[in-house]
Amino acid sequence: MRLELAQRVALLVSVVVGVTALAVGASVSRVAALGPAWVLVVGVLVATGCVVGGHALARWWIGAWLGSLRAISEEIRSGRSGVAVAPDLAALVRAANERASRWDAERDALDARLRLLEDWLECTPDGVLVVDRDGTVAVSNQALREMFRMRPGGAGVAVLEAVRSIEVHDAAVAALRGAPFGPIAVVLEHRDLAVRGYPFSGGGFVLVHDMTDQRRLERARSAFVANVSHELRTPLASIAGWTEALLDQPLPDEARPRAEAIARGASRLRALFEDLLELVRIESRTSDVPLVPLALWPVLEDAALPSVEAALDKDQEFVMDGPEGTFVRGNAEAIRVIVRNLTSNAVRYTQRGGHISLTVEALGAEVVVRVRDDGLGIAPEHHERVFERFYRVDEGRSREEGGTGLGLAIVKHLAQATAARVTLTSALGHGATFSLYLPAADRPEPWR
Amino acid sequence: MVTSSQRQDEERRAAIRQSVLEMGVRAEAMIRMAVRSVIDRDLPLGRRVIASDEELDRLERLVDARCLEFLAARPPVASELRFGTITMKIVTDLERIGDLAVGIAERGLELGTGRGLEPDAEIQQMSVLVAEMVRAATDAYGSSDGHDGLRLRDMDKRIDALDLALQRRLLSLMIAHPDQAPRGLSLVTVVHRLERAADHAVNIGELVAFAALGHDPRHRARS
Repeated sequence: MRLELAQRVALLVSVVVGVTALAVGASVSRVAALGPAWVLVVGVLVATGCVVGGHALARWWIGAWLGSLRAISEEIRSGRSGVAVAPDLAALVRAANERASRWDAERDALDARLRLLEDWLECTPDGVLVVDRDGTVAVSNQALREMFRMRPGGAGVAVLEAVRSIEVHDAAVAALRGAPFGPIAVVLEHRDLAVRGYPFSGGGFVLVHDMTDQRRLERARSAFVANVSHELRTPLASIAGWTEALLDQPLPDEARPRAEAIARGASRLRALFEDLLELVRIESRTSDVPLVPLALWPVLEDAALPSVEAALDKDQEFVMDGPEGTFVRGNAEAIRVIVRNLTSNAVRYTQRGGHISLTVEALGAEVVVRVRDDGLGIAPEHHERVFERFYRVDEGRSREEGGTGLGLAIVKHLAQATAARVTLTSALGHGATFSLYLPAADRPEPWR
Repeated sequence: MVTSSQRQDEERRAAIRQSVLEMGVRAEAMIRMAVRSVIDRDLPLGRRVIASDEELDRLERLVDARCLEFLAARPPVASELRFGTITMKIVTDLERIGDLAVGIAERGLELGTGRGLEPDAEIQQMSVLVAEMVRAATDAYGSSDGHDGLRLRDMDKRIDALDLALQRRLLSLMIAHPDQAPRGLSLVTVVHRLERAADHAVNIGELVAFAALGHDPRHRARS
């Protein structure tokens, strides 16, 4: 902008000077009494000289401008300052240099962040694989390379060529299609891994978590409990059997109550082991309970029968009520165990002559089975914990009543494994209501 | 100079190799999972093996179709003919390995979650070896390395030794604990299927050797 102005001013000045010179030449030639032809010749000569001179002047000026601009750009490039330039240009230089040093600082900060992310990625214990849109590996970390014994490098090749795992491949494919994947187990010789895939704007992201220790602990625990229960049940069978045989014989007066105490203890122990085994069985197959549409009432009646008999013994009223022809989606065996536990608890913790009800109600997409009693009730602070193993609201009382402390833990696990849920409403002194929510189902198609 | 038809050929081959690689990795994973499902009584894992066979079958059909396309594109020269026909045989072997894994998983489902006396560690060891052989066979195909392909025969000798030892071990267990005989018989079947899966891996190695070296090593005395 300034350059153009300078050039124009220079030309204008040279033209004005030329015209003036033409006029001066004319008056000089008139004084010297020359003819008009001479006036013209002298005028043109003087004017030409002025224009040429003015132009040279303008070029020199522009050259000087360009020279200082070169100096400025050199200065900006090198980041130095202090080259002698005109004061207004020095401000430009300063501004440019300031901007440049800010960029440098920002770039350094970004580099540091990137290094931090890379370091974090490398030392994170989960395997990470980032896949480009074209299905090739963009980034992998140390943990992943170790898990799958990958060769170093591997960026830019197809996922399957870098990582010999069909699960990682499937996770990447799903993520690239925009669908989250997994978790799915990978079975390797000495490791148990869980693979997940996630889509993101730049492609797919695969996360591999090492479950080896967790799985080993689970396996050890299940095997231990199963073995212990098995080993304990064998001697228990002979204790219970021989005590029963003793009780069939005439016994001295003081010996009979003792033998009866042994028999009661043995029967409680047996109930405990059965529950313990049941719990281990449920926990080891949580993902594997088949769910089918089924008629609810036959299952409920079957499950409640022992409790109805027990309630008769305690002079309690046991009522069952609800619409016929209710169908739910669930597992008959699981519902049976849940309801058996809930009703036997109700009978156990309700006083003689109390009232117990088992009702069914359809609530839209759900069917709720309620087991209600008017017994002692459970204070709200215990509501969360009663579903824990061996948690007892009243240690002495439940022992006296013969509970194992595992019933509600079994109920909770079975409900979780069968798309159902159990809730508790109760207040101390006002009885308790356990509600089992089951997904409703249509009547199954009859066989043809 | 690379013509466009040569480039197209190269792309076709790469696509076929990629699918065979996927089949190999899938079959290898199926063997690992099947044996693990038997040893850990992991019924959902067993079901996963059975379900994943479908994908292996799909890939086999896909590779077969692509090979036919590859061969029909122009009159093939000897190496192209070997590549196409041998690939079609290899995917049959891989598919058979998948079927054997399914058979093992089905045995696991039959056995259920019960416990018994069994040589878990040895069966696990054998399955690891077989899975490694499937991987080695797939790798040999991927790199067209005939010598790597022939090396599978040596690995198979260890499988045969393990097979024999395990059969004897299971037999003596069954004699000592007749109540465990049904379980023992199922495990004999599992071991036998592993041994056959290893044989299919050896087959693949020999086919790779034929495609790469040009002479057929099959049915020669295995020294």
